[in-house]
Amino acid sequence: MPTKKDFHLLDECLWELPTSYHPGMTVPVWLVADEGLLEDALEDLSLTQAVNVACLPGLIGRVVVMPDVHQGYGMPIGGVMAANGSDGMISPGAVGYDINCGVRLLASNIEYRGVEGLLGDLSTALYRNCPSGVGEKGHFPLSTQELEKVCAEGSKWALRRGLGWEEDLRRTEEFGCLQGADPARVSPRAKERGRGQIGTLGAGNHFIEVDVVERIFDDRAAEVMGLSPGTLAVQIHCGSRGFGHQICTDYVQDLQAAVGKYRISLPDRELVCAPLDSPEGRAYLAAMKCAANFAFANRQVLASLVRRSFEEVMARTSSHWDLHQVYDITHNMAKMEEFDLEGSHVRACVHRKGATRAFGPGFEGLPEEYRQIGQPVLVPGSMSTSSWVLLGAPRAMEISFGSTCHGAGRRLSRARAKRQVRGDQLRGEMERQGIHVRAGSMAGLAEEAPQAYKDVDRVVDVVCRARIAIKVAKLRPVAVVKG
Amino acid sequence: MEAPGQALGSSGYGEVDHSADRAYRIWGPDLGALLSSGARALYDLASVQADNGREVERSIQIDGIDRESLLIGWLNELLYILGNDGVAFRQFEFLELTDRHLRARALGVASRQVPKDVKAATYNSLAIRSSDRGLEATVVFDV
Repeated sequence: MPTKKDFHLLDECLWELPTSYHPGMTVPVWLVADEGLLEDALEDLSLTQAVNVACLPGLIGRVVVMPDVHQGYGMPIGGVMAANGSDGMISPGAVGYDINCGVRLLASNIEYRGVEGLLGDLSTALYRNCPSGVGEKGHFPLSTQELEKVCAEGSKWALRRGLGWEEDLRRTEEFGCLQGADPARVSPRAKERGRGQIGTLGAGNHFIEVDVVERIFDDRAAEVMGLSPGTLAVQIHCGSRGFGHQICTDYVQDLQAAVGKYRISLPDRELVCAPLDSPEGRAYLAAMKCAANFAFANRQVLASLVRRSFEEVMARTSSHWDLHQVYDITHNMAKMEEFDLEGSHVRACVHRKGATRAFGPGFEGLPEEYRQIGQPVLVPGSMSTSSWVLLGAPRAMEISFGSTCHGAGRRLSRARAKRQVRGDQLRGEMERQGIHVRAGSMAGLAEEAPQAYKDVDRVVDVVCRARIAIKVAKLRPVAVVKG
Repeated sequence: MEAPGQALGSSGYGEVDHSADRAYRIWGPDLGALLSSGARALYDLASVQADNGREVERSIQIDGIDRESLLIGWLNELLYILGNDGVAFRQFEFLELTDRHLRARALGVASRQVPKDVKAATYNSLAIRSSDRGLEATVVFDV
């Protein structure tokens, strides 16, 4: 395991573990952290895992680790790697089981003070309308044929059914659909799991949260995004459900044989991979895109159910209850992107696992209204703590393949959290803080207790000090819905 | 550190700490017993019982490239059957078992229990090793 003395400071909140640390490393590891978060990261195996990633063939630049890093399986959560577009690898373990787990933010003109008394009813409506929890089926059961359309169309599938607005797609990463998805690369088993799950939240750390915009840091960006102090906003955090999980499971298993075939030396079998330009690599990428598009559609359907809930409750007192989309981001994905790296223009398959794309101004893949300011980055905290809206920054393109953090990052295991926290007591504490809670499982609530996570304010401060993101707004929770 | 789990003669399982997911150490005198311990650990994690419901018998066949991939394939197959069909097994008879192939007769129940959300058994730090308990491994489950 690396120690603190193996790292040297490159710049403010940027550390390097050089390739001399381990003979197998082909690129260094760069860690975005203050000294305290570096010490935290050394307490589990996350940096050892980052070293393992840095030993993969075909990488360019560096492996980057965010300040919210924690131990995962294969790639740490909070990791970014870039595989050379010509001879690099693609790895399902460096994307994660929950393909396109991500966050959508909706904003409103609803003043919190005027509707505080309605939040209990709103929470109940959200819990009722948005299916959550293990085994819960969605309101839109799909035939296999229809599921394959979801795979091909992403958010647009939902739009065609009247479940959203054009603006929603424009304000979604990749406009809500990755091109090149191929449902023929997805197993019948994965399709069977996905057919009943579109428009469902799931469980674990997935949630719908109603927030108040507490403080604005960048007036111009906030105005463009439609964020005003004291108004309500809604976050939706979920991914590709059992569909994506099964795709990852299938390919992690199937690619075990590819490692031998292509003579790849793996420090960790969960980093199983295949050359991008191989039948196995192309098959996984095409299947991953199906899961990604399913997740985009999933959040689109959930957004329509959130809007329905707001209409049910808020329309009693106001005609201005509507929710407009700020942005939708992914934090588990592999995508072909282009960068200027050490004087050369390169095309790479950027794998982000628990990290968020954070492109700065001028990127053509943003809707026109965001091209001048940069991409919104959504960073949810843990329950009862702040969440953040940031902007991507130019320096992210220089040091982190256009990436930044994704959340608070776990510091306690789920088992330890449940031993330290009682779910019903936590709910009581949150309600005393003025946060309405609707949760299907008290044990699940305990696992997601704020003390199980790092300090998100500190994580955000660090990425901003490292200049890979810029603060726009801070949000405070007033209602949480969980499975 | 291994939390108290369950020992069944010379086989058993116990939860160990993992910062983001859930991990179980499993052991048994031979590969079949190890696979059975893994199944029990999975059901413990998913909080399901395999003894109260409509009786079910299934044939399960798994192929892998080594013992570790056989174990992961086995656990993910049981996870799929649990999530999709609501079936949990309490007894396994391995009709064919090598380091790369198994065919088993599994007896259990189909019930209305709702299992906890377990995404997959992972290869994270997985190695099946010989010990004084026979064979041992630590399996990390993504939850």
